[in-house]
Amino acid sequence: MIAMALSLSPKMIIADEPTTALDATVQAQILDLLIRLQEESDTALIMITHDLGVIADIADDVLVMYAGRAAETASKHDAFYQPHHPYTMGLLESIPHSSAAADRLKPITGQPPSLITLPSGCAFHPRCAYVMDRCLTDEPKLEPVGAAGQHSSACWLPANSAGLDERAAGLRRNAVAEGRTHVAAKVAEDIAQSPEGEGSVVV
Amino acid sequence: MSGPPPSAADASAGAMPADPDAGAEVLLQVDSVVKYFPIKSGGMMSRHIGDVKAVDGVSLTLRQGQTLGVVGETGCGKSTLARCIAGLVPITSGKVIFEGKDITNLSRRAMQPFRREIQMIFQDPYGSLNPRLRVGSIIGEPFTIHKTATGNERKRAVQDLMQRVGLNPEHYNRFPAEFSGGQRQRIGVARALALRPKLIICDEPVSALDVSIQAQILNLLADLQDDFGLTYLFIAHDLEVVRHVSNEVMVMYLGRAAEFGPKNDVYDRSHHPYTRALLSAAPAADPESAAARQRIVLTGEVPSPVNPPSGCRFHPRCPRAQDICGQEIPPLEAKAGDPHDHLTACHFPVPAGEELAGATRAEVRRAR
Repeated sequence: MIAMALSLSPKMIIADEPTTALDATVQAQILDLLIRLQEESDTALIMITHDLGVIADIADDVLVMYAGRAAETASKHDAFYQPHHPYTMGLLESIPHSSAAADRLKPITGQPPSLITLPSGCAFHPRCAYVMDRCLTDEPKLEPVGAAGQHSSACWLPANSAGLDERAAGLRRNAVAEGRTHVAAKVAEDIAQSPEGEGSVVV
Repeated sequence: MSGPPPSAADASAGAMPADPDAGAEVLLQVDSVVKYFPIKSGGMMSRHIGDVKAVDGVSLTLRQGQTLGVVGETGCGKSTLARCIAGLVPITSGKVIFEGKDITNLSRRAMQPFRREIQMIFQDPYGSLNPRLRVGSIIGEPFTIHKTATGNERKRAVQDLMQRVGLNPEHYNRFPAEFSGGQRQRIGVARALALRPKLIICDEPVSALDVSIQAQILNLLADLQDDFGLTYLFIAHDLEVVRHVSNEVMVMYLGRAAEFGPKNDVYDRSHHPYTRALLSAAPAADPESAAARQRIVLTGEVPSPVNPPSGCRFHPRCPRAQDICGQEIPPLEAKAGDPHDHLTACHFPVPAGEELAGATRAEVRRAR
């Protein structure tokens, strides 16, 4: 398959989940091959995957998509260590870590929405722990967060609240305290009450 | 459960005696199971010209309420082993003992009561559900087949199950296509639970799901294990997932067990060079540790199970291989200094604390 993709020496290769069904050693070989080809012929590579380990291994930049839109775009470092969008954070928290002592994983609540009837406002709001009033009505645009301008996020949380540390978490809590009245509070309550069942109903 | 489990007979074939110290009772014992798929020549007079040696003498013991993880490369025989245990394919030789009863190659009728006790959850939540059946029928089918509930009783039982696995019971009349991948896997879980089995064989149950939904399903499986005292045989290629769910782990290579033991022994103190290579190749979802990772690069391809290497099947790719490895099959045994339940099949096990030579991605690049 890879040979076929390369037969015309392309400038760009789109690899759609190339290693998803493979185990670790074979996956590593395929990634080695893709990277070698990339270096030898200066090919650009778009790697589509749900394996965050693959991204951590070989990506330069990361685009996180949700319900057909870009949720966050960042350098690999920022995506993993300074995430801004709650969906990105949720993905990172969902992964089992050998270091984590807790025996329960922290999934994102609910199910991905139907693309026929997207939720109003931010499509992620029915699953978002930081849901605010405006998330229900206004769709956030991809805006720069952080200083370098290399990092953008489509989320109404303040731009300076990117990150996993306590300072960032505090900024997010403050924003939610200000931006949430009873309407959004009801959504947040629903999310909290159905932590792992059907959040949004897929029609 | 009646009587002690039969003792494993043939130690030379890598049979594993039941652990005398174990608190929980042995639910499943697999004894030197072999599964060959014959290869026939084409044409009218088809001759038997060889075998795919999918599983070649695997033994294991699984206790009530425990989870045994099985990891290994694609084509190493993990799924075939699962199907042998579930009685979905006849076994070439060896024994499967469930609750002290030999269930090896039983007739359909004799197997029927055991089918209720041993259920499977499959990898593909799209392909494993009949698209033309409503969800209620899919989950309720086991009740019909085993004639345990009918009519309204069946509907109520199905809706209880749907509730239990986090599906909306009002969606009883929907078709599988109306559900997302994660919800479909919940349907598969509900169907497997319907007859209150004792053993559930999970064959890559979360491989097709994205990480957030994967976490939901893993939590659900953990809750169900606590509530119903389920025992899992959990097959997956994601090493972090297997570590998360398992009590014990078996590493398979080309139809045989390479290493077996409590998960922390296998993950942190492994002796088999293949286990080391597999663990070193798994990418961590963290860029800094990914960059620092010392990966043991294996040379060569996985050999064909039709004509596997002699002796230790890993020897052509093994960095520690010597002459004996190509001649003698290493027994699966506890190595010096290991607990009796940590078993390794290797002539030259890697001592604890010693690292095999590896290279980071940057070093691999510089070497070119």
